[in-house]
Amino acid sequence: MHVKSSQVRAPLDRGRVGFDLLLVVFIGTLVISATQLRPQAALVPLIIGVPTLAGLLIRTVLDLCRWGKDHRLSEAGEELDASLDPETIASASLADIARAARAEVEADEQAPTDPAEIRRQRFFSLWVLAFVVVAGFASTFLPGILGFHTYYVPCAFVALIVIFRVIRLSWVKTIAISAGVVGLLYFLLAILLEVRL
Amino acid sequence: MIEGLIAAFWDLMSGPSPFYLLLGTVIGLVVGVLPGLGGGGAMALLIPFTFGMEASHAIAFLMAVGVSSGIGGQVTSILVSIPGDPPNAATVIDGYAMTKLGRAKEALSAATFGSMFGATIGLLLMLAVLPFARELVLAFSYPEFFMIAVLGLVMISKLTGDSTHKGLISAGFGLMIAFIGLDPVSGNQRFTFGNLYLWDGIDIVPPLIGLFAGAELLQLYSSRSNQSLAAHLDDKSTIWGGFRATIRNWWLVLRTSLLGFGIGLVPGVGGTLAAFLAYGHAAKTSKNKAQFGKGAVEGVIAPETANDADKGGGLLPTLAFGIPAGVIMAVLLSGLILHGVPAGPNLLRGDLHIVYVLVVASFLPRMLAGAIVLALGTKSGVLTRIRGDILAATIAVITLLSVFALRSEPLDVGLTLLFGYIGHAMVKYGFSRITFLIGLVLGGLVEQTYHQTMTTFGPSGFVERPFALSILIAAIVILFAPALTRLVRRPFAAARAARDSKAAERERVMRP
Repeated sequence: MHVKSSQVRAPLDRGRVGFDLLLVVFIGTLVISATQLRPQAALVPLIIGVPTLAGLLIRTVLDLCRWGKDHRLSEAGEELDASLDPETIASASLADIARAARAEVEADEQAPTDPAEIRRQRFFSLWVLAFVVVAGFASTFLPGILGFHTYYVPCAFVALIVIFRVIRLSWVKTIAISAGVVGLLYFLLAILLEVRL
Repeated sequence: MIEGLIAAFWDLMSGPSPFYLLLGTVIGLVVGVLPGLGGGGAMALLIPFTFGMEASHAIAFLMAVGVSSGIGGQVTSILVSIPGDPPNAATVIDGYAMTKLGRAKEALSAATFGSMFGATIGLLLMLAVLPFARELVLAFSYPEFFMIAVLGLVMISKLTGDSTHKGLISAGFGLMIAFIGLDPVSGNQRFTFGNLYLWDGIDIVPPLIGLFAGAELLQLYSSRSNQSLAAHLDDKSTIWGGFRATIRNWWLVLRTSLLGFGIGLVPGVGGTLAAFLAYGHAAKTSKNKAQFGKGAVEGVIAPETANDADKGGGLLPTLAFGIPAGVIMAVLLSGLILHGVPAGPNLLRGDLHIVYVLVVASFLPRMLAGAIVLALGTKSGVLTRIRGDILAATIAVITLLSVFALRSEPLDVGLTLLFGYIGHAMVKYGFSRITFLIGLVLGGLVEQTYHQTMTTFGPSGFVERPFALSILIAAIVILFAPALTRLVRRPFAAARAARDSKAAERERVMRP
């Protein structure tokens, strides 16, 4: 068993560089802000923040130069599949087994590559975002409706109906599950725990 | 210690606690069976629901979810060849082969009894080592606690995520988020940018749920097609056969338990490494080497025993030093902090009741989960037919509403969502979420102990105290050892390569 850490250059990944830059901006803002604090309050944040910022800048440059390892298990995953052979596991070194175990953990967390799966994930992300934004804004700026203090419960009911219909659940199941979930939540939170929902 | 364990047992048998343990066990089993949602993620999701509970009951409930998920994971490994959690991956090899041979019940039973014995031995070893760890912690002062936090972050940065570089960035990111709020020295606002919401700092619940549940829910929602695989149901084996096989292999159980416990002590991949090492060890030392890969029961017992003994080892650094060994322990540590339990070194300095509660709570649900799996037998495969997309949408709504319910604060819900996206990006681009979380959890301790050391001992406090110096050296060695090893080996490797090429040249010349 041997899981190679592939040293090949990966093509430029805009998402990866974009995330690096977001982190640079965030940590950079905190570091700059720390320089305006009193010395005692700024000391530890600067000790941590400056090397982190430096590390992030190096990471961004590496990703921009496409020097980053193409880590996401394209190779390692295949080799791990091949490695699920008792003989190779029995004869593998500790380092190789450690690499395989790490690759297994990474494989579990691996982002999908199938376009249909990516579409489903995007839809789910937008659905959650819509629920949070609509419920948050309506609860902050509009008066309560149907005896509710906030819009979280009505929005949860509508959101569940929308998503269950999108995944083609029958109307009966959609209404039953949505009402059951929201009803249970209302009972637990608003009635038992007396939260103003 | 015995009295402490008995008191903890009765505490967990009082009031609504047995119900919480049962509920936690069932939830743990279900999430363990579902690929995509791990025990750690489920624990994070359930944290808001524990606020109404007594601290010891809440911790026991979370622990029940975490430990039962491992047993749920073995069910899918054996019946449908899909590991519920990464530590169950090694069980697939022989477990699924046994299912195909019509020995699924025997495999399930061997894995379950292996888990039970492994967990018991792991916890007993933990209890045996605990007094020594306590003595060590009592000898520690601020510089040692500071260094322990640094060592923990370095170790986890090395062992998780894509690279040490990204691991250290994740740790720094987590620490910087921890510094938001009122400065502990002067009490002035820091990084709040005039926003009242940030005055108390970032509450740990939104990042915890967002990071660990957000990415998992996305995966659960998108992996619908993987859920409905059926097990091989033409089964001729018995539960009793698996039990007998486990007892027959008692020496293997003991060895792999010790291995799992030892691996559990090291923060990082933990259970997965323990399971693979134990499988390799069993394949190497078994009399039936030829059977491995074709349905050897030792190939099921060894990884599951090590995987569960590992949790006993993992409890020790979490409780003694506040350095979690894996995701489950990291979420547990956050749960302890949220319930006002002084996690980390202070936990062992005071009343040990919560420690014993944790030990009992990691033992009882495992036995309960094992009993449920044994009772269901191959029917537990039915759990794999739960549709991930329905569950993910339902869990998302429940979680966001419960986050709002904690403080009636809409910004908490927004922050959870934001950390969900950040967690997804971290997974996608290879930054370690667990290192970030540990940075966030340890941020306060790092800053506090740094200032306390400087005030009490001065800068020399970090290097003049033998314990602190040893921990510092350990952190430096761990951080730079691979690079140093490469540096030292390079001249030797170059010399060997030159020698080999000379020999090849000589052979070529000599050849007619």
